[in-house]
Amino acid sequence: MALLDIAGLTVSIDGAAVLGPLSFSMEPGTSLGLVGESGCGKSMTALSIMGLLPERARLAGSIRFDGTELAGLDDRAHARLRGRRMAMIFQEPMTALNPVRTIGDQIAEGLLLHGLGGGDVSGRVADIMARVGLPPARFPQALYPHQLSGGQRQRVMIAIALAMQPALLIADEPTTALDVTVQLDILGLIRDIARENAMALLLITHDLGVVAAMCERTMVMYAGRSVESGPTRAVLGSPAHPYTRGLLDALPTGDRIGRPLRVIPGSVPRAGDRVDACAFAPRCAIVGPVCRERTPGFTDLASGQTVACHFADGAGGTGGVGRTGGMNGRTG
Amino acid sequence: MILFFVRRLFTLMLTLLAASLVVFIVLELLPGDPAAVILGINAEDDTLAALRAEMGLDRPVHERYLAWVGDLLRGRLGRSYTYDVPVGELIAERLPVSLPLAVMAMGLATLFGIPVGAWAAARRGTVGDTLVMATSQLGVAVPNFWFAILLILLFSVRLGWLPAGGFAGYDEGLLAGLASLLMPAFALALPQAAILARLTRSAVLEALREDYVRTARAKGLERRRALIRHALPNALIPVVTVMGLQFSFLLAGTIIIENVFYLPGIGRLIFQAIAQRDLTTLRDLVVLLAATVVIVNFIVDLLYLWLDPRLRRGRG
Repeated sequence: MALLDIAGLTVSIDGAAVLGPLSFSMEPGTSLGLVGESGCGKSMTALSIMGLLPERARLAGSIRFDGTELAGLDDRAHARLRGRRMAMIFQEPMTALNPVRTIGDQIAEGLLLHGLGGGDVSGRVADIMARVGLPPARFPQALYPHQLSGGQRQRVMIAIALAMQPALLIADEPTTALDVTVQLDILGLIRDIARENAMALLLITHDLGVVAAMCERTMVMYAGRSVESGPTRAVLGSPAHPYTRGLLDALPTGDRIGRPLRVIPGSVPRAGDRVDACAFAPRCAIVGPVCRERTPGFTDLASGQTVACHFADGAGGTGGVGRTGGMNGRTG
Repeated sequence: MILFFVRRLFTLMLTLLAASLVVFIVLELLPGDPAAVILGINAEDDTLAALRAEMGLDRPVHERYLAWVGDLLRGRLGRSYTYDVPVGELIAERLPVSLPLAVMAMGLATLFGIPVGAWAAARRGTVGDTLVMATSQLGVAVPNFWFAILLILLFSVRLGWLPAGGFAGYDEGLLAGLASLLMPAFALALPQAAILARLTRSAVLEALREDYVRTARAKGLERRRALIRHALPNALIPVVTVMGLQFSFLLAGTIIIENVFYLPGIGRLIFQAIAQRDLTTLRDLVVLLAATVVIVNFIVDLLYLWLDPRLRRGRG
């Protein structure tokens, strides 16, 4: 049985649709990368699962987690799952920790709350801190967040998430706010911890390189919907959607030194502007008349990819594909 | 940390010195001759001159100021013209009224203001929240002496539960004494509680938007628990600052409230000293109030250190 099964999920804020309809599922212990530009609904997806959407947001559709329907669940019932069965690491470690409480206290809090500490909560916290690279000798539990660097604080966040051995770990841009030099350490730590504890990992990022290194499967999102999903190797190796191709094309790589970066013209449509058409049509290189009339359905490709493009089967848009091509051998 | 204390102590002394200077100059500029007040309008010129000499009023201004400050520094207070007893005795007599009154008022304001503000923040936009906001607006706007009169009308005149005024003393037990301070304390606390409630509400709402509250909820804390355990401790930092400032308003309020309720406290003593040109009593009392305010703010600074570990950096 799937650990997480999302079907027809939509989120709207003040009547404007900001997400969906979105459907995907995750098996226990697997990893999925959610990729896309800012505002494409990646974080909204994570917050929907966690039950942490802003109060004005309205959610519809189905989120089945571990056999429980999360859509419509009240805060109290959702809170019992949060932390214990699902945990989340946020983007901004500088502000995600409470400045007036010690780190040991903040790691222990979830354990105490869910009654998971056993007899020796402090000892358990020390073990967890050691595991995330904060050895007790150098990092006493009595430290406050302001006494730590950004990378160290993100380790504390990971410790908080790890403490309760959740079945699902959501990481929302966990390294975006960090120095490049510590990004790899933190990502490696998240990947190892997820593997060791057989946690499913839902990684949200706009960095295709991160997805390539971390996730078995990838889902590319655009304007609140999935445009392409499948095994990471296939999605990044032979992208079938023009948006995925555009993202890969925009990456600066060694063979293009000295040449201007390629960009996808235009910008993401505003929430609420979305109509019955392919949302990517205004920016698409291979757009045809049908794209402005109908929202594309999903096409399953032999490679395992699922693509939402009228030209996914290569029927009609091949000339355009050639123009944006040149993707060979860049799987990262 | 030690440096912090030394610096605070230094500013404390400086503030008190400035306060004493201001008090002295203002009283010096005040029209009215204490000797004339004591002897009445029919006094002979030479009797007046004799009394002035006895009171030291004939000496130059700076000499008198230095003598006064010197006395204060040695802990010697003046002697009241009107009561003809040492000011220290007057204060000792009245402190058992004013101190519990101020503490009760501040306690009531805190006990009502902070929980009500946090409660309203948790229910932002609901009827309860709107009601709290409207009531607190009223509480800020209503002058406390008028509210005091309303309290007297209700609890003393109509219901007969509490005395309308006066101080029972502690002879019949602590509770009987404090009971006669209850209504005045309420009247004093009302505007403070209202301000605290509004401030706490906005501070909690701000804290609720912080990422760490989301982290707390992601750990499994329900919305309300995250508010109490994570948003509130952070929200209290600005609230405590204002509480320190409020305390000086509260002390000023006692002058009015003690008069409304006929309480023999410091506030009433100050009022009488002004009316009777009892300058020695007055200046000592005003410096005492200034010292109280400064010391309370010093305590607030210590509370800060306790509330906000980021300020303790120097101790590390």
